Amino acid sequence: MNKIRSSFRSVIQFLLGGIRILREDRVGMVSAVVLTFFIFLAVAGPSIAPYPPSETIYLENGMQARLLPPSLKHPFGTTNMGQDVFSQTIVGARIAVFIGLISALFIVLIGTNVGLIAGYFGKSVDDILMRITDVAYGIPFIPFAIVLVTLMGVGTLNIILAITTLMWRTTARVIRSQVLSLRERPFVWAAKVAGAGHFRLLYIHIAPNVLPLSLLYMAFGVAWGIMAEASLGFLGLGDPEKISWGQMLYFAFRSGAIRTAWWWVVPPGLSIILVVASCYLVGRTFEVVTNPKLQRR
Amino acid sequence: MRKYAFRRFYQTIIVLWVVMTILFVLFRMMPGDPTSMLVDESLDEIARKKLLVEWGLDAPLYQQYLIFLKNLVFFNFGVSFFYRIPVWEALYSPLFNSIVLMGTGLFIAIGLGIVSGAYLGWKRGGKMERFGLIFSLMLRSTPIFWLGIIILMVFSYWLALFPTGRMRVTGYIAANLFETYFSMDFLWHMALPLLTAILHFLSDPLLVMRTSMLEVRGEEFLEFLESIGVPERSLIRHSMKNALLPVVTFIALSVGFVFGGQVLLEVVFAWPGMGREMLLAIERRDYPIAQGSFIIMSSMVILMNLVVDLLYGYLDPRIKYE
Repeated sequence: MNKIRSSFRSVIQFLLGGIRILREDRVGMVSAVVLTFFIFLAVAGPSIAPYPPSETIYLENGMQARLLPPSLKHPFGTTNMGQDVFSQTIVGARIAVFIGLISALFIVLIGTNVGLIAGYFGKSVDDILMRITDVAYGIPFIPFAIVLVTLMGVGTLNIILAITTLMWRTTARVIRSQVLSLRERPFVWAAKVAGAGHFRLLYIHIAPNVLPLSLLYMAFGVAWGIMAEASLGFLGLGDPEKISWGQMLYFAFRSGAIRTAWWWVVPPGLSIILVVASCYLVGRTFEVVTNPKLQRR
Repeated sequence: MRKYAFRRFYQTIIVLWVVMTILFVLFRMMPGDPTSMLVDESLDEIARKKLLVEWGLDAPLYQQYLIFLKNLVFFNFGVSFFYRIPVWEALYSPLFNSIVLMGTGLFIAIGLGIVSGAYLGWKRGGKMERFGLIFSLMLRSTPIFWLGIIILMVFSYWLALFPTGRMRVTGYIAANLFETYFSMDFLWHMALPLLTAILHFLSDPLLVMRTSMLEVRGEEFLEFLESIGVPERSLIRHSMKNALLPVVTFIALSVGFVFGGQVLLEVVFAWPGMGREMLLAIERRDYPIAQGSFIIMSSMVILMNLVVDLLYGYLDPRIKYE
């Protein structure tokens, strides 16, 4: 029980340490604010969007409001179908944040466990798990995702499945190398002598020490997830029921509207960049907590 | 060392085998009977059966699997349903087109990345470093297809300086291989996709090199060299040599990422490479081509990983192998 409390404490210490550094680091602070903003959009998006995002808007003369440049009424202009780009961009945050968070959660869960088990047991267990990791490294992501989504059908869950099937590989390798050095530390020996079993040693004694690193990879995982989702959306493999930034770019590109309609291209792209960059920057800030070596300047 | 090389070698074979098996299963599960899209519905049952037998699709699955493995060993990827020619024949020119574009892009990006990353790592703490760092992180967060679209919009649609895509002027047929790749027309077509690729691949080697340079800066040998009055230029050279190792790892791993970004880049610029070919093949239900290109991409990634692991021992003699 004590140990579980202490693993909670290590997480809280990690978060507090990160927040302390965030306060001093202007770039980190700004990216945390940007991230919070997009999470807010993900939650509230559909209710604050001025227009229903996929509805065609008509002008007063009854014509469809096609490819209108930005104006007060439509801050980001309209699409070739007369949809409001501003509303689509706001609504698109939801699927990006959702897929990013869920896939990051799975990436970290799988990656951390594989790394823990491989590093702790070593020998043939390590060998088998690391070969599986090699296999995951050997399959290029985009082609794999194309095939998987074609096979299982387009949909949010299948995109998450494609992302998590491969992306845990990095986390697994990093956590494993950390565990390799942790398991030789005196506190692990002490626990072993005191009669702790494998499970107890692994999840109560060793795991809390790699938890901060896992959380760090969670931030990167969100970035990878969002980027992967956008790429698949751009290839036309996004969930057709939901509006996403990648899919907006797919339609802008496919319709040939990129010749003129920069207002349709810039907002979703900048949104992707802002969210992904914020994840990396917040991650970098927290990296200092896990690796104090980076702090000396 | 030889023992280690041998072990890595047979591990690689196992990984290759597992990946190929996964691909076999994946492509066997693909929807749709390949004959259904070939000829119209009126194709009679006998002719359809004949085609299935011809392609070995009537055999039990385990036999198909054995044939698949046997063919792999001889680099025989089957016959394209769409082009009606061997997959290898249909794929070698897209493969070459991809390698020319992505290889050149990666080469330039890594060179630029190493130099500018070393510079940023050396001159740390300044405004320049802060700007360079944020710029490269922004680049890293930019989807390659979006970067491509923006570059296409600016240079091709607005300024009308470059073509909007493809590799050659419409209707052009190369007299020989040399002419395909060494002409102004080709370079003119390659400029924009190449620029996109360079910008996209620049940030990773840059960031890796910078971090590694920061680490090397703390090492004692540099302090020693500095104390005996070695000029800054050669100090930088010495630290760069030591900092290069992680970049080598990156180079190998990035070959894998090349095969992801490549699909997107080729779609944007309609570049007739393997990524685009694969996407088209899946749309056409031409699974031999899709499978063949996937096999080629995967094997290259896996082999590059092996090469790097072996190179590592050569580049850093401090590494000990069990």
